[in-house]
Amino acid sequence: MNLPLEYSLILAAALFVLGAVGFLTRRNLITMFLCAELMLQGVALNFVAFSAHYGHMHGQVFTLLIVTVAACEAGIALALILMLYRSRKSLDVSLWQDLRDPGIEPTLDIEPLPSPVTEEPAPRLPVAGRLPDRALPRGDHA
Amino acid sequence: MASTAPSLQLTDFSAAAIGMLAVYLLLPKPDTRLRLVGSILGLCAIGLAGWQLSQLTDVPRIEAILFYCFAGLALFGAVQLITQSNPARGAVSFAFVVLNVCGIFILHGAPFLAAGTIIIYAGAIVVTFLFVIMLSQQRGISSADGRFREPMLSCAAGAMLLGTLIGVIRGHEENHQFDELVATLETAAPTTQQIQSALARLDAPAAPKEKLMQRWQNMLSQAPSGDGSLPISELLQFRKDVAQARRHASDIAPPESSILSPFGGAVVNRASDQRLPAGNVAALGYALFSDYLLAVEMAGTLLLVATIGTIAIVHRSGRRAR
Repeated sequence: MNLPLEYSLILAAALFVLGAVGFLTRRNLITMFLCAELMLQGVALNFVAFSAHYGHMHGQVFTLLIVTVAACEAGIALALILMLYRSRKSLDVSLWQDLRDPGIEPTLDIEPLPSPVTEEPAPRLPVAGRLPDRALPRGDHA
Repeated sequence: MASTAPSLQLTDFSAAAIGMLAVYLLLPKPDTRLRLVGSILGLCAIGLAGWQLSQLTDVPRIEAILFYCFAGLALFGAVQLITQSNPARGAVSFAFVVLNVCGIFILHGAPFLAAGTIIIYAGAIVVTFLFVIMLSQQRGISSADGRFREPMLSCAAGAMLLGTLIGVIRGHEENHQFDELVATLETAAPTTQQIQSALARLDAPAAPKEKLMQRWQNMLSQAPSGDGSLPISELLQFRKDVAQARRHASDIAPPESSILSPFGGAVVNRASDQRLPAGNVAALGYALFSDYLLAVEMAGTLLLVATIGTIAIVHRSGRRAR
Protein backbone atom coordinates (compact mmCIF):
# COMPACT_ATOMS: atom_id res chain seq x y z
CA MET A 1 0.00 0.00 0.00
CA ASN A 2 1.03 3.59 -0.13
CA LEU A 3 2.00 4.14 3.48
CA PRO A 4 5.67 5.02 3.66
CA LEU A 5 7.99 2.71 5.51
CA GLU A 6 9.51 5.19 7.92
CA TYR A 7 6.16 6.22 9.39
CA SER A 8 5.61 2.76 10.79
CA LEU A 9 9.25 2.35 11.73
CA ILE A 10 9.21 5.47 13.84
CA LEU A 11 5.97 4.44 15.52
CA ALA A 12 7.39 0.98 16.17
CA ALA A 13 10.53 2.50 17.66
CA ALA A 14 8.41 4.72 19.91
CA LEU A 15 6.33 1.77 21.10
CA PHE A 16 9.45 -0.28 21.76
CA VAL A 17 11.17 2.45 23.75
CA LEU A 18 8.03 3.20 25.75
CA GLY A 19 7.77 -0.49 26.59
CA ALA A 20 11.41 -0.58 27.63
CA VAL A 21 11.03 2.50 29.85
CA GLY A 22 7.92 1.05 31.45
CA PHE A 23 9.63 -2.28 32.05
CA LEU A 24 12.55 -0.62 33.79
CA THR A 25 10.42 1.75 35.83
CA ARG A 26 7.43 -0.06 37.20
CA ARG A 27 7.34 -2.26 40.23
CA ASN A 28 4.26 -4.34 39.71
CA LEU A 29 5.20 -7.64 38.09
CA ILE A 30 2.16 -7.73 35.86
CA THR A 31 2.66 -4.19 34.61
CA MET A 32 6.29 -5.01 33.88
CA PHE A 33 5.23 -7.96 31.82
CA LEU A 34 2.63 -5.92 29.95
CA CYS A 35 5.40 -3.49 29.02
CA ALA A 36 7.42 -6.41 27.63
CA GLU A 37 4.41 -7.32 25.51
CA LEU A 38 4.30 -3.71 24.34
CA MET A 39 7.87 -4.09 23.12
CA LEU A 40 6.80 -7.16 21.17
CA GLN A 41 4.00 -5.16 19.57
CA GLY A 42 6.50 -2.58 18.36
CA VAL A 43 8.67 -5.27 16.82
CA ALA A 44 5.65 -6.89 15.15
CA LEU A 45 4.71 -3.57 13.58
CA ASN A 46 8.27 -3.25 12.32
CA PHE A 47 8.10 -6.64 10.65
CA VAL A 48 4.76 -5.98 8.98
CA ALA A 49 5.96 -2.62 7.68
CA PHE A 50 9.01 -4.21 6.08
CA SER A 51 6.92 -7.01 4.66
CA ALA A 52 4.66 -4.49 2.95
CA HIS A 53 7.65 -2.49 1.76
CA TYR A 54 9.44 -5.37 0.10
CA GLY A 55 6.30 -7.12 -1.08
CA HIS A 56 6.95 -10.59 0.27
CA MET A 57 5.44 -12.54 3.11
CA HIS A 58 8.47 -13.23 5.28
CA GLY A 59 7.75 -10.36 7.66
CA GLN A 60 4.17 -11.39 8.18
CA VAL A 61 5.13 -15.00 8.82
CA PHE A 62 7.56 -13.85 11.46
CA THR A 63 4.90 -11.67 13.02
CA LEU A 64 2.65 -14.70 13.28
CA LEU A 65 5.46 -16.56 15.01
CA ILE A 66 5.98 -13.58 17.33
CA VAL A 67 2.33 -13.75 18.35
CA THR A 68 2.61 -17.48 18.98
CA VAL A 69 5.73 -17.12 21.09
CA ALA A 70 4.18 -14.21 22.97
CA ALA A 71 1.21 -16.36 23.86
CA CYS A 72 3.45 -19.15 25.20
CA GLU A 73 5.58 -16.63 27.05
CA ALA A 74 2.53 -14.98 28.59
CA GLY A 75 1.29 -18.31 29.89
CA ILE A 76 4.56 -19.33 31.47
CA ALA A 77 5.35 -15.85 32.82
CA LEU A 78 1.95 -15.57 34.44
CA ALA A 79 2.43 -19.00 36.01
CA LEU A 80 5.76 -17.86 37.43
CA ILE A 81 4.23 -14.60 38.65
CA LEU A 82 1.55 -16.57 40.44
CA MET A 83 4.21 -18.68 42.13
CA LEU A 84 6.10 -15.56 43.20
CA TYR A 85 2.89 -14.11 44.53
CA ARG A 86 2.20 -17.22 46.55
CA SER A 87 5.62 -16.96 48.07
CA ARG A 88 5.45 -13.36 49.31
CA LYS A 89 1.75 -12.48 48.97
CA SER A 90 2.56 -9.40 46.91
CA LEU A 91 3.26 -8.49 43.29
CA ASP A 92 5.98 -6.02 44.20
CA VAL A 93 9.26 -6.79 42.48
CA SER A 94 11.27 -4.86 45.05
CA LEU A 95 10.48 -7.54 47.60
CA TRP A 96 12.93 -9.67 45.66
CA GLN A 97 15.72 -7.15 45.69
CA ASP A 98 17.93 -9.46 47.71
CA LEU A 99 18.87 -10.83 44.32
CA ARG A 100 20.68 -7.61 43.42
CA ASP A 101 24.43 -7.18 43.00
CA PRO A 102 26.41 -6.56 46.19
CA GLY A 103 27.38 -2.95 45.47
CA ILE A 104 23.93 -1.59 44.66
CA GLU A 105 21.81 0.17 47.23
CA PRO A 106 18.42 -1.21 48.07
CA THR A 107 15.21 0.51 47.06
CA LEU A 108 13.58 1.93 50.14
CA ASP A 109 10.10 3.39 50.30
CA ILE A 110 10.62 6.52 52.34
CA GLU A 111 7.76 8.75 51.27
CA PRO A 112 4.33 7.49 52.15
CA LEU A 113 1.73 7.40 49.43
CA PRO A 114 -0.60 10.42 49.51
CA SER A 115 -3.99 8.79 50.02
CA PRO A 116 -3.93 5.68 52.15
CA VAL A 117 -6.80 3.30 51.76
CA THR A 118 -9.25 4.19 54.54
CA GLU A 119 -11.93 1.78 55.50
CA GLU A 120 -15.32 3.37 55.81
CA PRO A 121 -16.68 2.84 59.28
CA ALA A 122 -19.63 0.56 59.49
CA PRO A 123 -22.89 2.58 59.49
CA ARG A 124 -24.64 3.01 62.79
CA LEU A 125 -28.34 2.69 62.35
CA PRO A 126 -30.81 4.28 64.71
CA VAL A 127 -33.24 2.08 66.52
CA ALA A 128 -36.38 1.63 64.45
CA GLY A 129 -39.87 0.85 65.49
CA ARG A 130 -41.61 1.33 68.81
CA LEU A 131 -39.53 1.29 71.88
CA PRO A 132 -40.73 -1.15 74.55
CA ASP A 133 -42.55 0.21 77.64
CA ARG A 134 -40.20 -0.99 80.29
CA ALA A 135 -36.70 0.46 80.49
CA LEU A 136 -33.98 -1.15 78.47
CA PRO A 137 -30.76 -2.26 80.13
CA ARG A 138 -28.07 0.39 80.04
CA GLY A 139 -25.78 0.58 77.04
CA ASP A 140 -28.23 -0.38 74.37
CA HIS A 141 -29.16 3.10 73.19
CA ALA A 142 -28.11 3.90 69.65
CA MET B 1 27.68 9.52 -3.11
CA ALA B 2 25.01 7.48 -1.43
CA SER B 3 25.33 8.28 2.23
CA THR B 4 25.75 5.05 4.12
CA ALA B 5 25.97 6.81 7.48
CA PRO B 6 22.77 8.73 8.20
CA SER B 7 23.26 12.15 9.69
CA LEU B 8 21.64 12.72 13.06
CA GLN B 9 20.18 16.10 13.70
CA LEU B 10 19.23 17.72 16.96
CA THR B 11 15.60 18.02 15.93
CA ASP B 12 15.30 14.25 15.92
CA PHE B 13 15.79 14.23 19.65
CA SER B 14 13.29 16.96 20.39
CA ALA B 15 10.11 14.91 20.23
CA ALA B 16 11.78 12.04 22.08
CA ALA B 17 13.11 14.31 24.81
CA ILE B 18 9.78 16.05 25.38
CA GLY B 19 7.97 12.72 25.35
CA MET B 20 10.28 11.15 27.89
CA LEU B 21 10.05 14.22 30.11
CA ALA B 22 6.29 13.84 29.98
CA VAL B 23 6.60 10.16 30.88
CA TYR B 24 8.88 11.03 33.76
CA LEU B 25 6.35 13.54 35.08
CA LEU B 26 3.46 11.16 34.58
CA LEU B 27 4.98 8.14 36.29
CA PRO B 28 3.19 7.18 39.50
CA LYS B 29 4.87 8.61 42.53
CA PRO B 30 3.79 9.88 45.92
CA ASP B 31 3.90 13.51 44.76
CA THR B 32 1.20 13.95 42.12
CA ARG B 33 1.29 17.66 41.50
CA LEU B 34 2.92 17.62 38.07
CA ARG B 35 0.62 15.16 36.34
CA LEU B 36 -1.26 17.83 34.39
CA VAL B 37 1.99 19.30 33.14
CA GLY B 38 3.09 15.82 32.13
CA SER B 39 -0.13 15.17 30.23
CA ILE B 40 0.14 18.43 28.28
CA LEU B 41 3.80 17.78 27.53
CA GLY B 42 2.93 14.30 26.32
CA LEU B 43 0.29 15.60 23.92
CA CYS B 44 2.76 18.21 22.68
CA ALA B 45 5.35 15.49 22.08
CA ILE B 46 2.92 13.38 20.08
CA GLY B 47 1.86 16.43 18.07
CA LEU B 48 5.46 17.41 17.42
CA ALA B 49 6.37 13.92 16.30
CA GLY B 50 3.37 13.87 13.97
CA TRP B 51 4.33 17.20 12.50
CA GLN B 52 7.91 16.08 11.95
CA LEU B 53 6.64 12.93 10.25
CA SER B 54 4.45 14.90 7.90
CA GLN B 55 7.50 16.80 6.70
CA LEU B 56 9.19 13.61 5.58
CA THR B 57 7.26 12.40 2.59
CA ASP B 58 3.93 13.08 0.99
CA VAL B 59 1.29 10.49 1.63
CA PRO B 60 -2.15 10.05 0.09
CA ARG B 61 -4.53 12.04 2.21
CA ILE B 62 -6.90 9.45 3.65
CA GLU B 63 -4.10 7.10 4.56
CA ALA B 64 -2.23 9.88 6.30
CA ILE B 65 -5.28 10.75 8.38
CA LEU B 66 -5.86 7.13 9.29
CA PHE B 67 -2.23 6.60 10.16
CA TYR B 68 -2.07 9.67 12.38
CA CYS B 69 -5.24 8.62 14.20
CA PHE B 70 -4.02 5.11 14.82
CA ALA B 71 -0.50 6.18 15.72
CA GLY B 72 -1.61 8.94 18.07
CA LEU B 73 -4.05 6.67 19.86
CA ALA B 74 -1.46 3.87 20.06
CA LEU B 75 1.08 6.21 21.65
CA PHE B 76 -1.57 7.55 24.00
CA GLY B 77 -2.49 4.02 25.05
CA ALA B 78 1.17 3.09 25.50
CA VAL B 79 1.82 6.07 27.78
CA GLN B 80 -1.35 5.17 29.68
CA LEU B 81 -0.04 1.65 30.14
CA ILE B 82 3.31 2.65 31.55
CA THR B 83 2.07 5.45 33.80
CA GLN B 84 -1.18 3.96 35.05
CA SER B 85 -1.09 2.92 38.67
CA ASN B 86 -4.02 0.53 38.38
CA PRO B 87 -2.77 -2.66 36.66
CA ALA B 88 -6.22 -3.63 35.44
CA ARG B 89 -6.53 -0.32 33.63
CA GLY B 90 -3.04 -0.89 32.30
CA ALA B 91 -4.15 -4.19 30.78
CA VAL B 92 -7.10 -2.48 29.10
CA SER B 93 -4.78 0.24 27.79
CA PHE B 94 -2.60 -2.48 26.33
CA ALA B 95 -5.62 -3.95 24.55
CA PHE B 96 -6.27 -0.47 23.16
CA VAL B 97 -2.70 -0.25 21.87
CA VAL B 98 -3.09 -3.65 20.20
CA LEU B 99 -6.28 -2.47 18.48
CA ASN B 100 -4.55 0.56 17.05
CA VAL B 101 -1.47 -1.34 15.94
CA CYS B 102 -3.75 -3.79 14.15
CA GLY B 103 -5.34 -0.84 12.41
CA ILE B 104 -1.93 0.01 11.01
CA PHE B 105 -1.48 -3.64 10.05
CA ILE B 106 -4.57 -3.26 7.87
CA LEU B 107 -3.11 -0.11 6.32
CA HIS B 108 -0.06 -2.18 5.39
CA GLY B 109 -2.14 -4.81 3.68
CA ALA B 110 -2.14 -7.49 6.38
CA PRO B 111 -5.79 -8.03 7.33
CA PHE B 112 -5.32 -11.63 8.45
CA LEU B 113 -2.57 -10.64 10.85
CA ALA B 114 -4.68 -7.78 12.15
CA ALA B 115 -7.60 -10.06 12.94
CA GLY B 116 -5.34 -12.77 14.35
CA THR B 117 -3.44 -10.38 16.58
CA ILE B 118 -6.62 -8.86 17.95
CA ILE B 119 -8.07 -12.28 18.69
CA ILE B 120 -4.94 -13.67 20.32
CA TYR B 121 -3.55 -10.60 22.05
CA ALA B 122 -6.51 -8.45 23.02
CA GLY B 123 -8.78 -11.43 23.28
CA ALA B 124 -6.79 -14.10 25.05
CA ILE B 125 -3.58 -12.71 26.51
CA VAL B 126 -5.10 -9.59 28.05
CA VAL B 127 -7.94 -11.64 29.50
CA THR B 128 -5.40 -13.99 31.07
CA PHE B 129 -3.61 -11.02 32.53
CA LEU B 130 -6.85 -9.75 34.00
CA PHE B 131 -7.55 -13.14 35.53
CA VAL B 132 -4.14 -13.17 37.19
CA ILE B 133 -4.69 -9.64 38.47
CA MET B 134 -8.00 -10.70 39.89
CA LEU B 135 -6.38 -13.68 41.57
CA SER B 136 -3.54 -11.77 43.12
CA GLN B 137 -4.52 -8.18 43.76
CA GLN B 138 -7.91 -8.24 45.29
CA ARG B 139 -7.45 -5.18 47.43
CA GLY B 140 -7.05 -2.78 44.53
CA ILE B 141 -3.96 -0.69 44.04
CA SER B 142 -1.08 -1.84 46.20
CA SER B 143 1.75 0.32 47.39
CA ALA B 144 3.95 -1.17 44.69
CA ASP B 145 1.86 0.49 41.99
CA GLY B 146 2.30 3.94 43.37
CA ARG B 147 6.04 4.02 43.05
CA PHE B 148 8.69 3.66 40.42
CA ARG B 149 12.31 2.51 40.22
CA GLU B 150 15.06 4.64 38.67
CA PRO B 151 12.82 6.94 36.64
CA MET B 152 15.49 9.48 35.73
CA LEU B 153 17.90 6.95 34.27
CA SER B 154 15.17 5.06 32.45
CA CYS B 155 13.65 8.15 30.90
CA ALA B 156 17.04 9.55 29.91
CA ALA B 157 18.06 6.25 28.34
CA GLY B 158 14.69 6.02 26.62
CA ALA B 159 15.01 9.54 25.23
CA MET B 160 18.50 8.78 23.92
CA LEU B 161 17.42 5.53 22.31
CA LEU B 162 14.26 6.94 20.76
CA GLY B 163 16.03 10.02 19.47
CA THR B 164 18.74 7.92 17.89
CA LEU B 165 16.26 5.56 16.27
CA ILE B 166 14.19 8.43 14.90
CA GLY B 167 17.33 10.14 13.65
CA VAL B 168 18.60 7.05 11.91
CA ILE B 169 15.26 6.32 10.26
CA ARG B 170 14.81 9.91 9.10
CA GLY B 171 18.39 10.27 7.96
CA HIS B 172 18.03 7.12 5.94
CA GLU B 173 15.01 8.46 4.14
CA GLU B 174 16.35 11.90 3.42
CA ASN B 175 18.45 11.26 0.41
CA HIS B 176 18.95 14.44 -1.51
CA GLN B 177 20.20 12.69 -4.59
CA PHE B 178 16.90 12.86 -6.40
CA ASP B 179 16.13 16.45 -5.48
CA GLU B 180 17.41 17.97 -8.67
CA LEU B 181 15.56 15.49 -10.85
CA VAL B 182 12.35 15.99 -8.91
CA ALA B 183 12.71 19.76 -9.10
CA THR B 184 13.23 19.57 -12.87
CA LEU B 185 10.13 17.43 -13.26
CA GLU B 186 8.07 19.73 -11.07
CA THR B 187 8.64 22.79 -13.26
CA ALA B 188 5.85 23.95 -15.52
CA ALA B 189 7.07 22.63 -18.86
CA PRO B 190 10.25 20.66 -18.59
CA THR B 191 11.96 19.95 -21.86
CA THR B 192 13.51 16.66 -22.68
CA GLN B 193 16.96 18.24 -22.63
CA GLN B 194 16.49 19.41 -19.06
CA ILE B 195 15.28 16.02 -17.90
CA GLN B 196 18.04 14.27 -19.80
CA SER B 197 20.75 16.38 -18.22
CA ALA B 198 19.21 16.03 -14.76
CA LEU B 199 19.13 12.26 -15.24
CA ALA B 200 22.75 12.26 -16.33
CA ARG B 201 23.75 14.20 -13.23
CA LEU B 202 21.80 11.88 -10.92
CA ASP B 203 24.08 10.60 -8.22
CA ALA B 204 22.05 7.61 -7.10
CA PRO B 205 23.06 3.98 -6.59
CA ALA B 206 23.50 2.07 -9.80
CA ALA B 207 20.41 -0.15 -9.90
CA PRO B 208 17.66 2.46 -9.56
CA LYS B 209 19.51 4.85 -11.83
CA GLU B 210 19.78 2.14 -14.47
CA LYS B 211 16.08 1.46 -14.28
CA LEU B 212 15.19 5.12 -14.54
CA MET B 213 17.43 5.58 -17.56
CA GLN B 214 15.87 2.55 -19.17
CA ARG B 215 12.41 3.91 -18.56
CA TRP B 216 13.42 7.28 -19.94
CA GLN B 217 14.83 5.73 -23.08
CA ASN B 218 11.64 3.72 -23.59
CA MET B 219 9.56 6.83 -23.22
CA LEU B 220 11.71 8.79 -25.64
CA SER B 221 11.56 6.08 -28.24
CA GLN B 222 7.79 5.83 -28.04
CA ALA B 223 7.08 9.56 -27.89
CA PRO B 224 5.95 11.48 -30.96
CA SER B 225 9.13 12.97 -32.30
CA GLY B 226 9.88 16.49 -33.32
CA ASP B 227 8.21 18.74 -30.79
CA GLY B 228 10.74 18.17 -28.06
CA SER B 229 8.25 17.72 -25.24
CA LEU B 230 6.44 14.72 -23.91
CA PRO B 231 2.71 14.28 -23.33
CA ILE B 232 1.48 15.10 -19.86
CA SER B 233 0.43 11.56 -19.04
CA GLU B 234 3.89 10.25 -19.79
CA LEU B 235 5.44 12.97 -17.67
CA LEU B 236 3.16 12.18 -14.75
CA GLN B 237 3.95 8.51 -15.05
CA PHE B 238 7.65 9.28 -15.12
CA ARG B 239 7.27 11.48 -12.08
CA LYS B 240 5.63 8.61 -10.23
CA ASP B 241 8.44 6.32 -11.29
CA VAL B 242 10.99 8.80 -9.97
CA ALA B 243 9.11 9.00 -6.65
CA GLN B 244 9.07 5.22 -6.44
CA ALA B 245 12.78 5.02 -7.21
CA ARG B 246 13.47 7.66 -4.58
CA ARG B 247 11.56 5.72 -1.98
CA HIS B 248 13.35 2.50 -2.72
CA ALA B 249 16.75 4.00 -3.44
CA SER B 250 18.23 3.10 -0.09
CA ASP B 251 16.85 -0.42 -0.07
CA ILE B 252 19.39 -3.08 0.42
CA ALA B 253 18.72 -5.63 -2.24
CA PRO B 254 19.39 -9.24 -1.32
CA PRO B 255 22.46 -10.64 -3.05
CA GLU B 256 21.75 -12.47 -6.25
CA SER B 257 23.05 -15.78 -5.02
CA SER B 258 20.89 -16.02 -1.91
CA ILE B 259 17.74 -18.05 -2.10
CA LEU B 260 14.85 -16.34 -0.35
CA SER B 261 12.50 -19.13 -1.12
CA PRO B 262 13.43 -22.70 -2.01
CA PHE B 263 10.60 -22.63 -4.48
CA GLY B 264 12.10 -19.63 -6.21
CA GLY B 265 10.67 -16.27 -7.08
CA ALA B 266 8.68 -13.75 -5.10
CA VAL B 267 6.40 -15.51 -2.69
CA VAL B 268 3.65 -12.94 -2.47
CA ASN B 269 1.89 -13.62 -5.70
CA ARG B 270 2.41 -17.32 -6.02
CA ALA B 271 -0.88 -18.52 -4.63
CA SER B 272 -3.07 -16.09 -6.48
CA ASP B 273 -2.43 -13.18 -8.74
CA GLN B 274 -4.17 -10.73 -6.48
CA ARG B 275 -2.28 -7.92 -4.90
CA LEU B 276 -2.41 -7.28 -1.21
CA PRO B 277 -4.63 -7.19 0.75
CA ALA B 278 -7.08 -9.39 -1.12
CA GLY B 279 -4.51 -12.12 -1.68
CA ASN B 280 -3.07 -11.85 1.79
CA VAL B 281 -4.49 -15.03 3.27
CA ALA B 282 -3.62 -17.10 0.22
CA ALA B 283 -0.09 -15.75 0.03
CA LEU B 284 0.46 -16.12 3.75
CA GLY B 285 -0.82 -19.67 3.71
CA TYR B 286 1.37 -20.51 0.80
CA ALA B 287 4.45 -19.06 2.47
CA LEU B 288 3.69 -20.74 5.79
CA PHE B 289 3.21 -24.18 4.40
CA SER B 290 5.97 -24.16 1.81
CA ASP B 291 8.85 -22.08 3.10
CA TYR B 292 8.12 -22.12 6.79
CA LEU B 293 6.65 -25.55 7.33
CA LEU B 294 9.25 -26.47 9.92
CA ALA B 295 8.62 -23.23 11.78
CA VAL B 296 4.89 -23.91 11.88
CA GLU B 297 5.40 -27.39 13.24
CA MET B 298 7.82 -26.13 15.83
CA ALA B 299 5.44 -23.38 16.85
CA GLY B 300 2.81 -26.01 17.51
CA THR B 301 5.27 -28.03 19.55
CA LEU B 302 6.25 -24.88 21.43
CA LEU B 303 2.65 -24.21 22.32
CA LEU B 304 2.25 -27.76 23.60
CA VAL B 305 5.41 -27.56 25.68
CA ALA B 306 4.41 -24.17 27.07
CA THR B 307 1.01 -25.48 28.11
CA ILE B 308 2.53 -28.47 29.86
CA GLY B 309 5.13 -26.23 31.48
CA THR B 310 2.52 -23.79 32.75
CA ILE B 311 0.48 -26.53 34.33
CA ALA B 312 3.59 -28.11 35.80
CA ILE B 313 4.71 -24.83 37.36
CA VAL B 314 1.45 -23.91 38.96
CA HIS B 315 0.29 -27.32 40.02
CA ARG B 316 0.34 -27.71 43.74
CA SER B 317 0.68 -31.31 44.71
CA GLY B 318 -0.88 -32.25 48.03
CA ARG B 319 2.27 -33.79 49.42
CA ARG B 320 4.50 -30.75 48.97
CA ALA B 321 5.18 -28.93 52.23
CA ARG B 322 4.19 -25.25 52.19
